[in-house]
Amino acid sequence: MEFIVWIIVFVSVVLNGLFAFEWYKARRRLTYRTKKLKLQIEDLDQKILQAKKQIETTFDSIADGIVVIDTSFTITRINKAYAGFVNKPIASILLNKCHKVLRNLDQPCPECPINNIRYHEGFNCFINSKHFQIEVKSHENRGTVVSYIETIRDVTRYEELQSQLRRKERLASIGIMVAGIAHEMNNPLSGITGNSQLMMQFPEKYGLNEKGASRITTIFESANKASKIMDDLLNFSSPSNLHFEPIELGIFTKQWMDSLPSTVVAQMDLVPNDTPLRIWGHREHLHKAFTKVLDNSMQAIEERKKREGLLEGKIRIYAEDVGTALLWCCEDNGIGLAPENLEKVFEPFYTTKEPGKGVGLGLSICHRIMAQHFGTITLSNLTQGVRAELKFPRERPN
Amino acid sequence: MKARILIVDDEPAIRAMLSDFLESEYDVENASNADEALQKVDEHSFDLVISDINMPGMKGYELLSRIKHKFPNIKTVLITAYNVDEYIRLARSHGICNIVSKTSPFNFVELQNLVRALTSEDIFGLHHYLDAGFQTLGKWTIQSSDEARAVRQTVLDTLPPLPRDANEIKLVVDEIITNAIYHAPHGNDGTRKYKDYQPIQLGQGEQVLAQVGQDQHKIAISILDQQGHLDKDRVLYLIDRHVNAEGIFDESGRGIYMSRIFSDRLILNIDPGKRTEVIIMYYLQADKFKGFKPLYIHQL
Repeated sequence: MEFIVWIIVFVSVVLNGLFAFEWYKARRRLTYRTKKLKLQIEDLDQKILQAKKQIETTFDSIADGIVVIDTSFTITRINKAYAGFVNKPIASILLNKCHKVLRNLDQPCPECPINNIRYHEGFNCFINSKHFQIEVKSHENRGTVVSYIETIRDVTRYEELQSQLRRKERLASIGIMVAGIAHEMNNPLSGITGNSQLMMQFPEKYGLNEKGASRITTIFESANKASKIMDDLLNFSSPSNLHFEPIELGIFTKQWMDSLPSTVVAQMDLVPNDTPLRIWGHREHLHKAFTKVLDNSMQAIEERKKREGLLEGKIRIYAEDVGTALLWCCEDNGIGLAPENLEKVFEPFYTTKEPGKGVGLGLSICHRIMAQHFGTITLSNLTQGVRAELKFPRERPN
Repeated sequence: MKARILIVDDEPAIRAMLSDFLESEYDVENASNADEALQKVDEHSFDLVISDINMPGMKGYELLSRIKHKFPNIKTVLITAYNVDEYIRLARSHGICNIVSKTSPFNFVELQNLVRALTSEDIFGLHHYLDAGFQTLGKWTIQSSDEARAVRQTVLDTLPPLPRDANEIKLVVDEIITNAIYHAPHGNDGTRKYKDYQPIQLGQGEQVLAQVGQDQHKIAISILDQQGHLDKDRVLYLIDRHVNAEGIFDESGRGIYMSRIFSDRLILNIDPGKRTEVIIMYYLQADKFKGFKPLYIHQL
């Protein structure tokens, strides 16, 4: 009996030992696996972190502003470009409403596509005189929208170029049409002037009394004025007869001012600039362009004097080197221009002036002169008044 | 006997104006289109036909070329309000070398000078192109290249202030005088006798005469050589090539084109084999006559 007990004890000890050994082995295997898994997880963690960084860098290096908002318009994530566009500290952007941050609105933007259509709809808006294009896409999880991704693009420069191009095209076609008309008008006009010349010279031959002769003189003068307008139009539409030479803008501006009446110069302020500003230009045409620009400033000042009782007109003239180009600017404190007219003024015969104060050719002629110089003319409103900016290329145009 | 002139223009005002002006000195008839003009030329004799270019139906250059073909003695002049330069090719191919520009105010004095020169065939000399009682500012004979240089400067010094770039005037005077002394004299073999820019002494009968005159409205510089080698077709060819920017790489011919651009009027008088006179004209007042530059080449 005792023997059997001992055998059982022995067997159980052996089994126990075996179990313990197996357990020990299993434990060791487990530790090893855990370690391996840990390493793998660490590795994966690293990879995820790297991917996250990569995505963040990508996100931040996109020139368009990107912002993620939840369904209640609260901003949960932004990229650097967006922070740059709204120009606010990150703390006052995150967890705030996107319409509040972007446009300081208490309600969602009226054009916002979120409550209207779900996909691919965008809208344009102006913020701080910049032109933005905004697109919104929704992000769904199991069929429910969980967040929206907005892309915001600054299209100010693009739109500027587009409108410049449109303006150029429109002016070119208007130019061709106007030159055509001017051409056709020459014939009848020379008939009118020629006949009236003869009638003025030999009134008795045409049976004219004094009154008749004086009317003929009026007709002649009117027709002559008309041909002067036609001549202006034709002169600036043909590029022949152009004599270009190097012109020092600073010296030329001084010479130009010397040729102006002293009452006008008294209102002008020429900002001195010692850097050499050499352009290739046509003296007479430049003289004409500067004078036309000044003329507009003077009239804008007159208008403000009349309407708002302005006491003193001020015109600031300066020329400077901006690296890629040379600028000649004329700033006045006149009545200013309505934003919608800033472009229209370059069209021939467009005028905001009273009848008798010019037919509206001045700036269209400036535009053509600047085109001859491979340059541009742009008008922009200042806080009070207008700045005309004439931009010349640095190199000699071919 | 009065010379007879036919005026062809579809614009009644222009017809009336031209005939009113010319009828005191000439027998003038009118036609409003080319068909009517051809009929009148067949029925009566004329010394000169002045025709508008752009008319409904047959154009002026074609009309004049037909008239010239049938009656070679009739002188022909085109008149237009359009850019004369654009018609030089057509003028050349139709044998026309005078195109009057309808300027505003109309340049009656110039028209009168042209009509007188063409009807009388008396074309040489400043007195045909300046108003009566004009003043001669100077007269020079050029016998050598050295003298040419001196005279060029004297001519420029003689000129009154003009509303033109002095460099442009200098270019024109230089060009025309250089042409006269180097290009005009030809040897017996028919080639040019002197090389450009070489110091030369002109031979007997090769002297060049220069004269400057001024009237109330304009000054005129006449450069006269005694060779008459210039040819109207050649001149039209050269101007046309440059007007159409085809002659950029041509070795010669740019001078005459530039001279036309940089002067108010350039008049060429040619007596083939005898003499050539180039008259450079400037108006004292800029933009006095608004419109395009006319074309005046008279070849006897």
